[in-house]
Amino acid sequence: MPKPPKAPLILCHLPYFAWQRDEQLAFQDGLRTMSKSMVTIFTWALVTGLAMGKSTLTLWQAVSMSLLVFAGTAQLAALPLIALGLPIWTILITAFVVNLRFVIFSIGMQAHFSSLPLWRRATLGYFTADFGYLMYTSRHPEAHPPEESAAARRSRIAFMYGLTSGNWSLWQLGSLSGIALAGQIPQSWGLEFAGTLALIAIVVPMLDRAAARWAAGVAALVAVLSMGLPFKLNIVLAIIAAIVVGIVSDRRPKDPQTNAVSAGD
Amino acid sequence: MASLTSLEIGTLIVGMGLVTLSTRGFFMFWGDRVQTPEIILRSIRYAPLAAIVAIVAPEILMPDGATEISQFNWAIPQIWAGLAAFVAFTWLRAMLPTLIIGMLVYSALRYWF
Repeated sequence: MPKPPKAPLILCHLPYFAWQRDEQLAFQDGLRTMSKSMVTIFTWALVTGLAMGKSTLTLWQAVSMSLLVFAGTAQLAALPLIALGLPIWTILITAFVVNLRFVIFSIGMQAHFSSLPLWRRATLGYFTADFGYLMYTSRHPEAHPPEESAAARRSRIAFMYGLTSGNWSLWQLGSLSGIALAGQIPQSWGLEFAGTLALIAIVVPMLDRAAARWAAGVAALVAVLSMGLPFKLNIVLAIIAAIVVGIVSDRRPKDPQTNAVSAGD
Repeated sequence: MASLTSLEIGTLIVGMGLVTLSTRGFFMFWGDRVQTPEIILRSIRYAPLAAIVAIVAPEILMPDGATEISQFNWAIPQIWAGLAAFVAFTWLRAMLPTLIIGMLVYSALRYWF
């Protein structure tokens, strides 16, 4: 790989500028991949920002929550509890349970990034929300083989950094815009529903095989049937149901749509 | 009604940031000591899809504020707007028109129902 052209003195020590050319290209690829879902992420973040702007939080509390917490569903779940003045620990437990899906995703993250040092694993984990995990695993469905080359490893890690950087930036852009516009946009427009509609566009392209359609259908049914559960536990139940569908579809290798060659991507 | 002080809110925000870190990093903190078996990785491959579907489905299929399935009702704008957005995206494969069509159907039906 040719070395990138010499950057000004300080820049060559910063991430990205200090990287090899192939890593920089992989990072750009990650940014580009994430930007294809720009409208969805922006809309979903805008809705979350609007909710924060209209809540009991002050402007700066809303801004720091957006920047520090970076977990939309947990933030939306916390707002009514903050308005009620519930004890902090109750709200923290709620946030943890609402975030349980990320604990499941972290099994996959561990398999893909266990070779990194602790602080880089922690950083990657923190910044990897639904979209980042989804897009990384659809590009790299299998865990890396042991004989993976150093260059391939560097590239897929840089690709993940690109995805997470894109996700964080688009999310904060939408969320901060929502906080800023909260006073101008009346509740009666029903704009919250746009966030839900935006997620449909993420789901549709994933329904490209029978097993995925089964998983989505079962997850929807379970989520609706168990919607009365506290702490958004219906999301966890829906994931468990989809895991069962995944296992069952692996047991039936005769189905050409779900055999070992094509499944998982 | 009790209300949280700004110190409490500050603590809460930092705490929620730590919750984000600890849940998203949960199994990553094990590092190289544990090798995840391939079968587990394969079985969780639909987890992200299921998570997003589980966030969306109750918002689309059930009336606002519903808590149980018996409150299901065909005459809510969300179902038809969601269907319109689904068809629009399947057909057009473009996000912005999908959102606009879905929101137009939603807004129109909100006056209708």
